[in-house]
Amino acid sequence: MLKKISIYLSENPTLRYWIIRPEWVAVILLILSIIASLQLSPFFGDLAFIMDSATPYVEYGLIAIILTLIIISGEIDLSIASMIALTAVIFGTVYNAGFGMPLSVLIGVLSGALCGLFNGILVTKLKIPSIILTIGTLTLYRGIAQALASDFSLGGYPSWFIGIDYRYVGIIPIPVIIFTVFALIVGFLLSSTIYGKQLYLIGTNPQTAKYSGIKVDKIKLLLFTFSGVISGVAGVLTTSRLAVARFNMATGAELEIVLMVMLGGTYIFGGRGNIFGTFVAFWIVVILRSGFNVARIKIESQLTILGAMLIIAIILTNYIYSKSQK
Amino acid sequence: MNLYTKNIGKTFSGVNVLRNVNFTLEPGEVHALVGENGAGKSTFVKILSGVYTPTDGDIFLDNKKIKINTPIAAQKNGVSLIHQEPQSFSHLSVAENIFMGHMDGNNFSRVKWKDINKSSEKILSSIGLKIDPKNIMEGLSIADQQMIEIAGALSKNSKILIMDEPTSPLTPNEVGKLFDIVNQLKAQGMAIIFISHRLEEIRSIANRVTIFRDGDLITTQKINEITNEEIIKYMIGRSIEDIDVKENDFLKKDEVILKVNNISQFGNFKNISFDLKKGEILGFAGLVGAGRTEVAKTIFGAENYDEGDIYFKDNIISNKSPYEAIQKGFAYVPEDRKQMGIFGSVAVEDNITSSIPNEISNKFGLIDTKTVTLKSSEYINKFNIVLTSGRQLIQELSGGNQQKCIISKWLLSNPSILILDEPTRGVDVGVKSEMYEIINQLAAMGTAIILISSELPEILSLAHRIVVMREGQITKILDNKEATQETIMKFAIIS
Repeated sequence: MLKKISIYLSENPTLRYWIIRPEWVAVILLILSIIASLQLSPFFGDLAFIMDSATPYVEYGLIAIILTLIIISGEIDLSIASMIALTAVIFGTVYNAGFGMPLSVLIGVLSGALCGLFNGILVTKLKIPSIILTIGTLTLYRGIAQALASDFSLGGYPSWFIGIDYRYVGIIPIPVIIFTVFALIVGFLLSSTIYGKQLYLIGTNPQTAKYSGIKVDKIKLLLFTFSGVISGVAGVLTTSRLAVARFNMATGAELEIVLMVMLGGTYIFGGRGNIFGTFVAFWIVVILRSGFNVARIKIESQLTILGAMLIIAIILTNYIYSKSQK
Repeated sequence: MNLYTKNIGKTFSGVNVLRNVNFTLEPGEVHALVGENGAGKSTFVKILSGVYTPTDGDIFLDNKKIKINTPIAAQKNGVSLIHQEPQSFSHLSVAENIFMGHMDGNNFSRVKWKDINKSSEKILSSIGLKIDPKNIMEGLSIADQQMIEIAGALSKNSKILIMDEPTSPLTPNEVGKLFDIVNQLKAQGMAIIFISHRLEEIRSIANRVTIFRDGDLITTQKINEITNEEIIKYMIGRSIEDIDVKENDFLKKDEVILKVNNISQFGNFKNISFDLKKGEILGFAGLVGAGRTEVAKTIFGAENYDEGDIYFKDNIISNKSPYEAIQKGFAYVPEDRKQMGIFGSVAVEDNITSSIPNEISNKFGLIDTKTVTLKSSEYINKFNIVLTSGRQLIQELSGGNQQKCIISKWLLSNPSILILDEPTRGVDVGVKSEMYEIINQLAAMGTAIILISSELPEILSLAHRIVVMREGQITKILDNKEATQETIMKFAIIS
C-alpha cells in the first residue's frame, strides 16, 4: 500500500509537491499538542483561553513572520530579541523625557529601523555572514539597552496605553488580531507577488539572482530594516503589556522566534518555506508553553524541550525537502 | 580488468531513463560514449562510479559480480570518475587534493607530508605536469585541476577511468596535452570511458564507440568501422550539415550599438576596445583564462572596471549592476550554468520568467500565473525543451535542456545585446545545431551578439568578426573571411 502510494506520488510531481511538505508536520504537531494539552486541562478546549494565552507570544509571532522572509532569502537575524529590548528602552526613555506618546512610539519604531538597517548594511556591503553579525549585534543592542536603562524599569505611561492584551474584539485580543492580519498580508505578498517570488529566487541561488537583474543587496537591506521596524513595534507592544520597559525584556526570545520559523517548515539554507507554516507553528509554541505552565513544568526544563524541538524541526524539514524535491 | 554490465536499467521517479544496457570495457582501450543530452550516458557512468545504484541489472568485473553502491565502493573496485568540471578543494594543496580520502594510515595518524608530496610529484611528473604539489589549488587553470583529478585517480591505482566530457572546458592546446596523457595511460593498460560531444576528438582518441539514444544502448562499434555520419544518424536519426556564416540586412546598415573604448580591469584585462554592430555576431576566441569572461561580466555590470569608457547607442554608460544593464537591453548567458544560470530547486517556468518580473505581474506586483505559463511554454515548445511539466524543477532536467531554458529566459527579455558565454558547452550535436539556428535568427532580427566560445569551429561558423584575446589583451580582431582555426590559434597563443 505504502509502496503504491509512493509510486503514485512519484508519477505526479505536482501532487507530490503539495503532499510532501514540511508544513503538514506543523499541522500534525499542532493537533497532537492540542490533544496532549486537553489531557492536562479542559481549558485547552476553550478558544478564549487559548487566545488569552497567545497574547504574550504575539510580539514574537510578528517577528517570526519577518524572520521567515529573511530565512527564505538565505540570511538570518538573531538580534531580534535584543532589538525588542533596545527599542522598548528607547521608547520608555524618550517618553519619560516628555516627548509625548505618538512621537515616542515613532522614535521607538524608528530606532528599530536603524538597528535593522545597520545589520543590513554590514551584511550586504561588507559581506559579513548574517549569522555571525547578528550574534554580534544581539549582544551590542542588549548592551546599549542596559547602558541606557541600567536596572531601572521605565514606566509611568498613561492608563490607555497599558494592557493592550486586555483589549478585545469579541473574544479575540487585539494583539492576536494584529498578528493574524499581519500574517495574512505578508503571506499573500510572499506567495502571490513578484517581490515574494524574488525572495525565493535569492535564497535558492543568490548568484543567479544577481545575474538575472534582481537587486539582491537592496532587497536584503530592506528585509533587515523591516525586521528592525517590526522588532520596534514588538518593543512598544511588550511595553504596553508589561507597563514597563526593561533592558532584559525578551531575553532568549530568539530561540522561540527561530523555533516558530523552523517548526513551520522554512528551510534553514534558504529558498523554501512559507508564512502558513510559521503561523501554525506560532500556535504550537503558544499551546506548548501554556501546557508546560499548566503542567507546572519548570522553566529550565521547558527550554530543554524547546531546544530539542528546534533541532528535530530542522532535521525533519531537511529530510522532507530531500524526499520531495531532489 | 574487464568490465561487463548486464541489463543495467535505472528508473527515476517512475521515469525509465536507462534500459537493458549491455556494455563491455577492455583494458587498454578508450571507449567513447556518445549520445544526445538525456540519452542516458551520464546516468550510465554515474551507475558505474557509484553515484547512482541501478534499478535493474548487474555489473561484472573480471567475470565476478560486484556491487557499486557508493563512490567509495567504485574506487575500491578501481573505478574513478573524472568530472566534467573538476571538483577540487581550492584551499588545500595539490598533494592533499590528489590524496584526499586515501592517505596512509588510519583516521588518527599524522599526515605524512613528505610521503604524499613526494608521491604526488612522482605521479604529476609521470603525466608530464610541472606543478609543485605544495601549491594550493586556487588559481590553477581548469586544465591543471583536471590533470590533478587524473593524478588522484592514478594515486588510487585505478584501473578504469571514466572521463565525463573532459575536453569541454579545455582549449584546443590543452586538449592535445590531455590526449597525450590518455594515450599514455591506454598504453599502460588502463581502460578508459570517454564521453564527448566532439566527434573529431573521439575519432582521434577512441578505439570503440558506444551510442546511446533515449536510454537505450543503440550500438557499439570499432571507431574505424563507423563514419561520423553514421554516428550522428544513430544518435539522432538525422544528419547535420556544416553551416556557413549568415549575412543579414541589419549588418549592412553598419549601425554600431556598443562601443568599448580602452577599458581595463587591473589584474584581469587591459585596454580592451571593440565595436559591436546591430545584427552582428562578434566571436571572442582565446584560451581559457584569457579574460574573455571578465570582459563580458564587466560589460554586463557584474564587475567593475578601472579605466576606459563604454558607449551604448552613442551615449556613455556605466552599468553598475546587472539590473542596470538589463534595463538597457543587455542579456548575459553565463558560462557557469549551475552557479549563475539556474535556480536549481525552482520550477522551470519560474526560471524562464525570472528575467521579466514586470511582464508577469501587474502594477501592484501581483503575479499572473497564466502569463507565466504562457510566456514560458512559448519557448518550451519552440526549443523542444524536454520536461514533464512547467512546474518541474529545473535541476531535474539534463544540461542541454537547462541551457535552452536559460536562453529562453533571456530571449523573453528582448535583449538588444546578447552575450553568450560558452553557450553550447556540454550540449549535444542536435541541440547545438538548434542553438546555432537560434543565434543566426536573432542576429537577423537585429540583435547584437557577443559569442564567447572555446570551440573554434563554432566561432568560425557563426561569428562575422572574431576578437582574439590573450592574457587579458586583444591581440587581433579578424574578419571571418580571413580567419581560420590556425590564424586564431596563432593570435591566441603567440604574442
